Amino acid sequence: MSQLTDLPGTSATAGIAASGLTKRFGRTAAVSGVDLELHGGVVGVLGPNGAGKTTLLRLLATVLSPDAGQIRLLGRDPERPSERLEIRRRLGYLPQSPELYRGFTAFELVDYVATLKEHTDRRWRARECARVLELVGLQDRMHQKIRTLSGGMQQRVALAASLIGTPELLVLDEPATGLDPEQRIELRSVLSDTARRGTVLLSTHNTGEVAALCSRVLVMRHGTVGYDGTPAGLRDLASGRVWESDSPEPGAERSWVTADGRYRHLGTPPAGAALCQPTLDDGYLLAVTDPRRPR
Amino acid sequence: MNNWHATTIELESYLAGAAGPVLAASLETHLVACAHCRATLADLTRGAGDDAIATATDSQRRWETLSAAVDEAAISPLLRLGVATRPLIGALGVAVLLVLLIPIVVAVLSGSERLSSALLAGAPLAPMLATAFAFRRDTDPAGELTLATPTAGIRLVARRALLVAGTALPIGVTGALLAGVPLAVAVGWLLPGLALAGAVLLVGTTRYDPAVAAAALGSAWAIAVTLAARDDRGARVVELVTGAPTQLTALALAVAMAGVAVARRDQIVYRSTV
Repeated sequence: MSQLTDLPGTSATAGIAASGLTKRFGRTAAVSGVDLELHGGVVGVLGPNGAGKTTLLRLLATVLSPDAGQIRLLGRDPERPSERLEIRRRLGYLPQSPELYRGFTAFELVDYVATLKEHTDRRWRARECARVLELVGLQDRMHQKIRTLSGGMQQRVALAASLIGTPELLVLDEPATGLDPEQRIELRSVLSDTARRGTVLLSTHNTGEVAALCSRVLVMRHGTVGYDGTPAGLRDLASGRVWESDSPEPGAERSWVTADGRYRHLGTPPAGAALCQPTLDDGYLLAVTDPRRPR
Repeated sequence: MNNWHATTIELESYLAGAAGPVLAASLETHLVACAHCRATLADLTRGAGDDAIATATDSQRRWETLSAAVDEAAISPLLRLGVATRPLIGALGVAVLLVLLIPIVVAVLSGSERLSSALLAGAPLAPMLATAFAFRRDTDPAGELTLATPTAGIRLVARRALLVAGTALPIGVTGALLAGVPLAVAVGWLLPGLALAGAVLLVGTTRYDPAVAAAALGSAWAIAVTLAARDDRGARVVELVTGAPTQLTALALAVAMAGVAVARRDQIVYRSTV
């Protein structure tokens, strides 16, 4: 196992570092031997359902403890109680299913989380709650009960709660779920701004989000990181490996019918195939394709 | 004292609605505390044309929203943590019921001479149940968000338990005294109750379910006291429970178990997340 050191960069205490990170549930390894070093910016985590994205994010949000491996968050060891407390003071976390209490107003919920984050000054809390609710565009709904808000608005309330105190490390599990296109664009603005001061790690199923927002992308597969690099590099994985035809291709690793009725294929193209410009989706599909399993 | 002031360009951008959410929020926070910048903003607003006045109206609306939030009587952190959810309010109701109503009902049905033993059988369960309820998943208004905060875990559980038990216990003692129970009995159930609560708190730091522990311990206590009080209308059990040996043992157990639980507070994740 490699020894973790302080993270390089402008701040010695910024970012995420993990080595040999492993988490098992029974006999299943949800995350297996993951090595990471993130030095700020927005980092996207892509992967199919069950690939280990949520478990990885929970480990990096101090919600779960690893069964093996080491983590350093903001230069600190979350397995040490006093350092974990310090990390949590500077961490924002949005879980996949926030499960907000519906009897609270948006303001009360965010204020509650501010209280959990040890902000005891009432006037500071009130201003901070108003600030983060405005950041997510809910300034006009802050005194409405959660139960009266749409799913997308509830997601924004949880996002606002995760932004309390301007965290240096923001871990977001599918933050764009339930948001309409306009809200997604606003979310990008908020996350880009946060990433200027720290690290934002977000999981998503949407390659468009990754292309628009992330400087780096991880693709999870079977609990391991199958790809770690730039979005452009992920797209280029499929360079020369995408082609279209009018009929199915049994030799392709993946094939699907496009909107114009043609077949698009991934894999090793046959001689004379009409090669296409790859997209991020193509690169992602190749990265998660298990070569041992026939398609 | 902060000598920083917003620039005219920043304020004009804010007035025009072009400041963006981050700068706008920062300016609004600063404007709350800075009379100089408020005056500058007012001058800029007066000097602007009709368009600026229209955007100033929008700015005013945002200002009023922020001011309303700031001026709102924010409740204390402890109350925000404690009276948050229906399960906690329910826990408070159950605790008060145990310390107040159940002994009185028993006394009404079985005679006032059994009031003391009924109180000693039922009331100690209140702080224990308050602790068990505090572990419940649905007492978290923010769900999994809670787990990544500094207060997560046994710190939050302990605060909830203290809120519920801290409200129920004085009510129980006062009610018992008003019902004519001797002072030694009216306060004699407190330490056994705290010992039971400490045991549940300690179980919560292990992989075992604190609710199951509360059910087992509570049943055992209530049955033991009730059976012991069967023959002599409770005189002997009242003497036993309120006696110095039992009280000191309960105190020692409560302190020891709470101490171990506190020492283990960072060794466990109190709510499993799979």
